[in-house]
Amino acid sequence: MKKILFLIPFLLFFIIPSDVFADSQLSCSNAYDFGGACSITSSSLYVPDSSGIYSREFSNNDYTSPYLSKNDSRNYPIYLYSVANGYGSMMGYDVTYWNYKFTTDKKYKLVIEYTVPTKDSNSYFLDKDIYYKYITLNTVTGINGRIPEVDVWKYGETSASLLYFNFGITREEVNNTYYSGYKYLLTLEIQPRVNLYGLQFGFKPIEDSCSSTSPTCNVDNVISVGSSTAGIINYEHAYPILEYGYTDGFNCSRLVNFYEVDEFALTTKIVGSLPGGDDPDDNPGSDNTEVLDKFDEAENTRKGIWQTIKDLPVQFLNMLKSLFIPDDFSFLDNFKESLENKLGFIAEVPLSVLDFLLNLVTSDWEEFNSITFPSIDIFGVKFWSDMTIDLTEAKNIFGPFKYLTDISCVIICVNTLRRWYDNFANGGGN
Amino acid sequence: MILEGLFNLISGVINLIPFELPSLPDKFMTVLNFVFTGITDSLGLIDFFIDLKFWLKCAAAMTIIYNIKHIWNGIVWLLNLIPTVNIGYWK
Repeated sequence: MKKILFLIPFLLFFIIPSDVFADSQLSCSNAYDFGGACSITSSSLYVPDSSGIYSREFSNNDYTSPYLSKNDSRNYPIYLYSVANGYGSMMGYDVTYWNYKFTTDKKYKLVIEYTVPTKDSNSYFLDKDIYYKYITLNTVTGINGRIPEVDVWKYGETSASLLYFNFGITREEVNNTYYSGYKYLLTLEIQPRVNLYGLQFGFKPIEDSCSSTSPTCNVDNVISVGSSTAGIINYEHAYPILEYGYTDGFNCSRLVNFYEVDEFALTTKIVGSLPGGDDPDDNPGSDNTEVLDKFDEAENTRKGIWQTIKDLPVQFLNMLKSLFIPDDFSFLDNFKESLENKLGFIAEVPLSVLDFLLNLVTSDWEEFNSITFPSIDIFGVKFWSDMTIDLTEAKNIFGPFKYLTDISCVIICVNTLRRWYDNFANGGGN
Repeated sequence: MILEGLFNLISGVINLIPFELPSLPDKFMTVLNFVFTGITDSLGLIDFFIDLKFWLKCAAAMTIIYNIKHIWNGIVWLLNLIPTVNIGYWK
């Protein structure tokens, strides 16, 4: 009996658990009375979800002063301040809506959804949707070693290229003078799919934040540009010490209450041009692959040590799998080419047979509806005219017949298995 | 990686052959392809009477089961390529 050796690679299948970001959203549909509250009527509504994130969505309103009553929000265990919604333009995108996500550790996430605008002068580098934009205020260093508490983080209006936002930090009164923070580390994280080619981000104070008559309200008007690599912009802004004279009163027009002490604008600026012009099709280098790769890398880093440890077994198994199962079987083509080139006629027939057998597995045979017999002429005399036999009715007859052949196939298989088992149980080889 | 290395190794050895054997005549390959095409079409005709795909799958399964010993030994041989791994063959 011929013995056929089938050497097949075994397959390992691993299901890699995917991190699912729970994105439950609550709606506030009844009130947009920011003068009083959008109303925080029950703190139970604002309990963060299992992932520690609370999100709240507002829609269909265009309030220009979109923040809740701070006095109300400060009473809640999580910091709930600004809820903004509006329509405008942000970095070339039409903003459909945005909302904030708040976490218990005072890190805020602003979720912005965009619609891709019609092509304009800036749209070539924004050929994909931006889903998320995280802006976090990492550190605030106060003067004299004092670390002020970050209280407010809200957005104001937007314009074509500016996203205004301000944040508040507490002040401290020392000898009739209020002190606040002066050094901010802002992190802007863009996720994902935004090509940052030629884009710079900067933070600058709003110019009209303070009146010119204010003797002590120093504002730095210089646009400072942060780096824009890997979709994450870290910008450390060394701000002049804000020193508000107590006796002179507050001349800063934006200094309307205890929280607002500073205001910045996020600016975008194109500093380069794409090699092929504005058309993304002409810019093969303008795709988002690199940015996405870098973002993934940054995302992996952000997972932390615990996540890495959790991933170790899966990674190990994947490595083991890749040891035996190649990702790319193109080497078989090289192997076949070597055989054909060097061994010539010796290899051609077996390779052809192998190709035939492999193609047989995936073959999809044409269904016969009729059989045509060609005409036969012998010495100019028509011996047989062409004839077509319709098999439609025959198919109806042989359709059930297939069940019988299937049953016979199963019987043959069972019989074969039984013989194999007998041979195996008796210790015989095969 | 192991499979790829193995095939690349064999390819490398074959490429070391200093000459190239001639190919089969084109007519021979034409005839061979004609035969294969005929077989394929004939199988299509057979499919009219039996569920050919089912039969082929059964045949493949039977072949694998009948040669499970060789398949297992092949896998063991692959595993034994890893240093410190030494699994006994099915004798």
